[in-house]
Amino acid sequence: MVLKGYAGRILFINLDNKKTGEALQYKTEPLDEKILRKLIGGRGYGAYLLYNLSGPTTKPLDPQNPFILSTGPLTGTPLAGSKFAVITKSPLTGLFLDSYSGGELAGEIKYAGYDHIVIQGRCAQPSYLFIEDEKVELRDASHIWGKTTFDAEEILIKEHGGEAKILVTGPAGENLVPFACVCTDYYHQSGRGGAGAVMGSKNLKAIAVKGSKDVTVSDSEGLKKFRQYLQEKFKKSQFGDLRVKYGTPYTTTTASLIGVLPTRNFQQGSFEGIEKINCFTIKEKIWISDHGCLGCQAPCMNFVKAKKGKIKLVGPEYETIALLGSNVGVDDIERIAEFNELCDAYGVDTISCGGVIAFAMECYEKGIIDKKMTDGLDLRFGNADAVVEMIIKIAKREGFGNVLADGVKKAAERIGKESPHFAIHVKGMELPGYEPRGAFAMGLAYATATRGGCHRRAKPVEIPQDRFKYDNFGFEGNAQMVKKLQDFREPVHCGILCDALLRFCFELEMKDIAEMYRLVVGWEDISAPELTQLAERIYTLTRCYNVREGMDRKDDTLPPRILHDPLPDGPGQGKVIGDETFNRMLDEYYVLRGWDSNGIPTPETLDRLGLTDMVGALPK
Amino acid sequence: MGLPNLVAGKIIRAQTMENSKTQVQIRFLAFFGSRDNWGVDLDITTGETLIKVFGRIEQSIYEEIEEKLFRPQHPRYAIAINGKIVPQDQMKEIRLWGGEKITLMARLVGG
Repeated sequence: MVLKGYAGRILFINLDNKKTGEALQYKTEPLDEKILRKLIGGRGYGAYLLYNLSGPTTKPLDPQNPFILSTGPLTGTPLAGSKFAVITKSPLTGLFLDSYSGGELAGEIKYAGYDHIVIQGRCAQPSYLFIEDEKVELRDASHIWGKTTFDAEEILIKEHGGEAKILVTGPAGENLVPFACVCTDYYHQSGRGGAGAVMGSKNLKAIAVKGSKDVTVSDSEGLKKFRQYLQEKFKKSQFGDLRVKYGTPYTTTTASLIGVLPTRNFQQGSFEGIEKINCFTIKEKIWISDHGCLGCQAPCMNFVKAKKGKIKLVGPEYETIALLGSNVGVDDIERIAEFNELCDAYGVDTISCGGVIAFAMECYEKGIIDKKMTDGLDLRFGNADAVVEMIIKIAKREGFGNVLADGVKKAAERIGKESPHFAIHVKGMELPGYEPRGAFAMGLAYATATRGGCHRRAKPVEIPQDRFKYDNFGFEGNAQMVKKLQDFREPVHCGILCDALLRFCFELEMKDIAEMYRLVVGWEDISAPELTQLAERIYTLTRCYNVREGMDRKDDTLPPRILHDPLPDGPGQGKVIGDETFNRMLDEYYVLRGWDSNGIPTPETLDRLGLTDMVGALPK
Repeated sequence: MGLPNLVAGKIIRAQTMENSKTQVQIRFLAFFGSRDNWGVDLDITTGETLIKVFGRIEQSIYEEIEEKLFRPQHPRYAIAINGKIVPQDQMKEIRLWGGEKITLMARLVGG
């Protein structure tokens, strides 16, 4: 019996050396109902698939590295903001990667009758997949290979009609840039970790999906009432209106004032040009209309036009403003929109791209590199024209762009001298828009996120000192808070719904998430404590994946600048995280997670979480 | 032992300026009075506390500030003066000397 909410099937596709028009090897398998309740779907079930289909000998750009599109039982239902996850081994970190995106593709995968699509192998020539319900075909992509994401998607939509939802990678993915993203609905990106390069390595330019099925739910009347409940929660929410009116850019001013806005490659936490790049300037200068994802009651994105209409996009989001604005010293919102559009078109993650360009700018200003190395570019902070040039060079791997195109960790290894000190990354992933020295718990969140320097598993800076008692510039309470924030997101990322919407606009709690699963899937006895244990299970499962790759405590660290240098401005002025505070937070965190002092999940923990058989033997 | 010069200087400056008339700017970045991104200039007497100055804004807005900033144990809104966050325990008592730019905002940090 297929549970409600689920399509009930996984589609496995093997591209191996297939030429366009040749019959594809593919099969469908039913979901394993024995583990559905343990891992639900989305990130949980996807992690299980990745764990079983890849191992330490699988290189991220090997044909056998699985590229998994995962949805969950809540995807495509009339609940808040459906998303899908791309799950694969990251070319940027060599570790577990899950990267989420909104838009309408998530629902379409379910409507085509699949919960997960698993793609392995490599096409013999540039190709794209066309999936329409039971039909699965490999088609020639020579006419879209080399095209920007916008152009490629437009061509495929002309060919297949607007009902087809497209996932596409850009030139950066084709050139195997390890922070290449995948894009859908023009303006939605699974940005982090390099899923675009995995598509590129498979000679797979795009995936077009069309579906005609429905998603059934267990209690449709109850679900209607729950939507009303969400509306009531939204009305009472303190931040919902702000979120809808301004979206993530509202954060910019606050981040600068509380001293967590990355500025000039994390040399400062506040930006003097903040008034020129904040949400109010966006509204005044470039905003056209609101934009939202499938099923969202609180659309939070901005459709903007800049440069007299030459630039049109949804964004820039906060992270882009931070990493490609203040962090590269640019205080012109129209230029930031231009950077954003270029990154989307070429298919690179704006966070990593901003991080690596800011790193190069600091190298240049410190005299570690010069114009001979930068192809003549004057790479000073604030030089917007140089940023434009560098984005294109990175995506095309041209000249100095090729040095930066492998990410900041490898760029620092190549450039040398004192540059590794200010190469701002965790496990190879460039840090996003929150300076940990303005909130020490953010450092712990980065160090323990399974995909590397990531803000999406826990974001302690988001509502400081709300709900949790912790020390912003010490260690007390930080480990517990980070774990709780991480755990809250797990069942949401299994759903898959928009965690930002649930937190900011509805202010939901774990019991509300349990109620959603009860109404959609029909698990009458599902509860908040069960979901908390499920969260621990999935977090530990993804940790086991990374441990199997050779990761341990030594990798759970922060960049030397962040760990040892004081911040020169903001509320965190003069504060140093330091080894002692950081290690105390990490020790406490490992204890709370049931991992040993080296960060390896203990046999007792694996047993308690029902993971012993699933993960097998781990390195000692 | 005498006061360090810097501290002594501040006190002397404060005593000299106290009770003279001046102005401060208040800017609301979050919704207060169902409006956002708006501001008022207020006349103050130097040395007045922030809470007293807020009391000069219209009553309903003042009540909203009380509700959102001063009553909760862990407020989800913040005040910055000249670009620096005021610690929660100093919010009520901090004194103004004129020319300050006071910003009220949501502590909404998240992309």
